[in-house]
Amino acid sequence: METLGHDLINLFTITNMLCILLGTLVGMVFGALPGLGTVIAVALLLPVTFTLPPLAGILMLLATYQAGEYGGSISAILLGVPGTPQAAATVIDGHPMAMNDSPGKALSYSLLSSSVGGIFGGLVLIFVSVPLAKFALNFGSPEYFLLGVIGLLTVALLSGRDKIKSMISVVLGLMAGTVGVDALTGVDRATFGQPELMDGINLVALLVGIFAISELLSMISKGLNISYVADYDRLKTGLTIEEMKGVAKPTMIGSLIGAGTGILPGIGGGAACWFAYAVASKFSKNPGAFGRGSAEGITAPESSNNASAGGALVPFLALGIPGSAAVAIIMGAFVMHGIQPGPGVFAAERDLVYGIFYGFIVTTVAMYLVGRLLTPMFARVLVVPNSFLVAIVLVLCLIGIYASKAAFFDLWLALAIGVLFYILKRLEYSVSSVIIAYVLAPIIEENFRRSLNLSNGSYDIFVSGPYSILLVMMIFGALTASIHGGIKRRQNLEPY
Amino acid sequence: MTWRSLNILISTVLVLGGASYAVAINRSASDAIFFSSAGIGPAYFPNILAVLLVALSVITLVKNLRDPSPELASKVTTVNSIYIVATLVLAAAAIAAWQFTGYFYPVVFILLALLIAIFRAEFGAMRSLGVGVVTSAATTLFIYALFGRILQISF
Repeated sequence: METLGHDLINLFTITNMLCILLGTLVGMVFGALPGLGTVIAVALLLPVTFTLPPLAGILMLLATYQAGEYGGSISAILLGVPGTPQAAATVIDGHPMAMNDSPGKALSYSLLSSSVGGIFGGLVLIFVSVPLAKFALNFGSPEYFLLGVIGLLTVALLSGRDKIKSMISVVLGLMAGTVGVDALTGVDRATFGQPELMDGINLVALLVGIFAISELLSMISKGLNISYVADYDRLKTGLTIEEMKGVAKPTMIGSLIGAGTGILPGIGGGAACWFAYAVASKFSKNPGAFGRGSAEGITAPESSNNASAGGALVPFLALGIPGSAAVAIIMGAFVMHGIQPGPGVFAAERDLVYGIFYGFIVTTVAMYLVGRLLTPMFARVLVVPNSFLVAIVLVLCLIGIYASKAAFFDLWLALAIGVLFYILKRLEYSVSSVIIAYVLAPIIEENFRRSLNLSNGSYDIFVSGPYSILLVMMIFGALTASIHGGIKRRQNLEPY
Repeated sequence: MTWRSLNILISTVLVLGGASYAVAINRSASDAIFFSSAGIGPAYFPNILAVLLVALSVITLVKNLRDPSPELASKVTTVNSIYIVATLVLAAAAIAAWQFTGYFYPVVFILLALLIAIFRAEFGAMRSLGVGVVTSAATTLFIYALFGRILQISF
């Protein structure tokens, strides 16, 4: 099989393994700490990848992404506070099991199902990406433009409660992506005379401002000296074969749902965990146990959020469309190494792509091993109050931004962006949409302009081929469904 | 300030931002427009974005003005707002000090010590300052060892 014919020696280098280990450790700590989460961990590690070979850097970010998904369940189970939005459903059964039965057992269920979900997501990535990329080779500029629009539209329609504000977020992200020298004409755009903006807005400054600095300000609002208390004495507990067999069905349900929803841009692990939880309770032999510390209620959402990580990489690698904020940051690492994801990358960077395929499975194994050995240590990190975390992470943010370009301008920019997005987040603007739109902006604009130049300015080119017609129909379908859903919700809210 | 006022303020800022973005784009790209085929120059796509931003922001503005829900009439409250302002002021002062003096590690030490001392002020001034200084010294040393020595990044 073509997929299996890759030389694995390139993958198992000391640099790659150390990067996976570092990413796993950072991802697990940041995932476990409520408020910080996976996206901030990936954003802060992005500048570190510039000095690394592309595969090592990208594997480090993937390991962070994977481990962060599991790390979120540590605080969900021990404290009843999800470390990440993807671990929100885990609280329902994870925390009661930790309180009533055994915190170690609850964590073991979470780690096992997260690992199975991660492996399943990795297999989906390997076996779906290649045929999808081959199919995408039929696409031209109009289809790529329309694909980008579909990606943005689904993210905008699914990522926030207020659809108009989500669409504004998308437009803001696209605008940010147009700043700098135009690649086609060499004209500088919206730089306001700042030479630091000629290359565009620094991705690291934008990411750290949007995700980290704004989140640190939110953490200050939530309380600076909250001390968490948990049962740290019974964390080392394994599972018997019978117990593993008992959760096989919900784990598979979660893995299937997670991988499926991960492939669709904008849905991701946050929604997948709830969907998996609901479906697993429906197919359970003991639905009454859900909500009271059911092992099935832990394994379904936990397998789904890790499987969604693998699923989200499918449209990213095959089509160049990132489905989540974390994948958008990983796309940033690609772009900074001069690699453009999409069907062309399978031929141009074959070793890298296959290294990512198998490396993703290795990151899951690393997550399992590190989780088995060090979960009790990560659990103890939870006692660090926000007063220390906010100060230290703020300094790490400044270091990360400066290390990326050595420009003080970027530090000021990130601070301003952090304040702006702290306010915008409170008003329910979608921050994920901004960053996904930012990384997609060059692809969308380039293909849009190329298409119109080919057709002498006629928009007919976007409905001239069978694939483009299909994509336009999908856009209208998504818009119609969203408008219909909005009208229905409004009718349900209106009094008779 | 109420949530409605804040929403209106942000929508207005976005409208103005969209307009100034369009002006800036068209000013810098005006020459290239004439040389581009079919009129699809560097300002074409940004102009569409500017129109979309202004239109969507106006819709949000009108929605806010017409929405009678009581939540929008409630006041915006920010818990620990004084700490947020202090964090931003200290961060800005640290960046400025670093930029103009070039001393990274002393700036990091002072920033960390002050932030931790302020955040833990409820435990007593001297005690929180002591905790701040000790934690800051340890963290600065760790940063120096990791970034300065191992990764050889010069700040």
